[in-house]
Amino acid sequence: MFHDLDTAVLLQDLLKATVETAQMTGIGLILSLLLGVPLGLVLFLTGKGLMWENRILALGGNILVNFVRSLPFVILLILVLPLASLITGRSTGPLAASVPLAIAAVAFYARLVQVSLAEVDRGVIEAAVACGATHWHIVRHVLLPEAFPGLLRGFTVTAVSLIGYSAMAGVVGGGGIGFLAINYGYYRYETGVMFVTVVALVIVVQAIQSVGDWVADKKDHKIRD
Amino acid sequence: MSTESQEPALIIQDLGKEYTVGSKRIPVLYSVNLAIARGEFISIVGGSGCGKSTLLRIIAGLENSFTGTIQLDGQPIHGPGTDRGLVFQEHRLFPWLTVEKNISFGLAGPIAESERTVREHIALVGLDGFSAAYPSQLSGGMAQRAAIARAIVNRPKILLMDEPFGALDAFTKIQMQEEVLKIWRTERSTVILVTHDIDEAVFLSDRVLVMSNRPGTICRDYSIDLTRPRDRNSYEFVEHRRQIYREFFTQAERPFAYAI
Repeated sequence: MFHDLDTAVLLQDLLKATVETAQMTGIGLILSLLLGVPLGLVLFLTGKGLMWENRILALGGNILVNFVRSLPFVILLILVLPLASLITGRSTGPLAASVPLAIAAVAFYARLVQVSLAEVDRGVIEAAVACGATHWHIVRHVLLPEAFPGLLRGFTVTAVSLIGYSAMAGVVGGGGIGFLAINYGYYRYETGVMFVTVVALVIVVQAIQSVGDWVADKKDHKIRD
Repeated sequence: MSTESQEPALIIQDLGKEYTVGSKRIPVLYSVNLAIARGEFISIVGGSGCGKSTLLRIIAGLENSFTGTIQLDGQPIHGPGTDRGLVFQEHRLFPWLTVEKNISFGLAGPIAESERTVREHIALVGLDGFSAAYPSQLSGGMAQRAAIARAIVNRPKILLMDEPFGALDAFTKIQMQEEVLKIWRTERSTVILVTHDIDEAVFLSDRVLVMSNRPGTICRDYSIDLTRPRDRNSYEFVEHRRQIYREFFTQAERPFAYAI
């Protein structure tokens, strides 16, 4: 099945690729939480009629997010390479690739956070404002809990997209499962390897989506029922 | 027991408010002047779109672009604060919080004290036994009781109510009116109620203010000098109600006079 490839070597490669994918998407996801949530909050709260209404900030944030989101990921990857090598000290490898991945993830998730927050009933937000609650209290105890199922669903979508993006990290030698599929399956005509990697990717994505949906549904029921 | 002191608690002077729709500026409130004494129960009645809710929202601090001055106990109002409680037509409770947590939402201070305050307020609005219920498990009247408790838990100087019983059925509404009087007596707070129900206004208030339409301003100020409890079918009650009705409808008819 694997032609002249040793199965043990392949498994080793697959394991290494899985670790690389986990590393790249993990860094991207952590940063999308740390930076994407605040950015999404700013995008939402600077909107019309909201607590930090500010046209310039809202416009600036939107342009920034749109700019990142409109770039094809391969282009973004190459574009931020100098920045990546500046931050991580290297211009190839999974660590370098996680910089453009994180940038894409932050912009992507920030937009999803904004959309989820927009779903929160404005009347309820206004009631909290009228209670004299501080802005931080409203963010912490109204916006985030009410939008939580949506935030979680968005996070799942971001994770799945990131795994897709990480396949392109091979361009800068990032490695990962997707790159393994391209390298062996496409360049070396090792259909078997491609098949194995695709199965691995499908399982990972299914698992992430299922866990995300399950937790979001549980939270949703707690709120609605 | 209408007033504790004649010193006005809330003073509104020459208040004006405009909305911009497209390129047009539409005046909503024009030259509103009002002084409300501490402990007074005031109702503001007017047709829909007369700006009565806007006036209440300005007092609550939810609208910030207006002209004129508005002072609560000598302090100008800037934004919302715990010294004012607001009840909306819809209960607007936080759906993911229990009744108890909803009420304690705006409370600051030590936890033990908060718990006692919340318990007292749950009892005050007659929701004993429902503190662990979620808003979706409550009837409309009960949800509105919880919303009132949330609004008064900080012991605000003024309780503002924006058509709070408008969405309730007639029986629940009458029951809730009695409850609000009880709360007003117990808490000795100042109340401003916005309503389009003249009967409700006469039943509850020390003064009924009638607002005119576009731009909204206070055109009449009726003192309701009836003793409480009030009998909705007494001659004096009906007389007050009739007077306000008349004011209301002559005013609403004006546009037709122009049309002819």
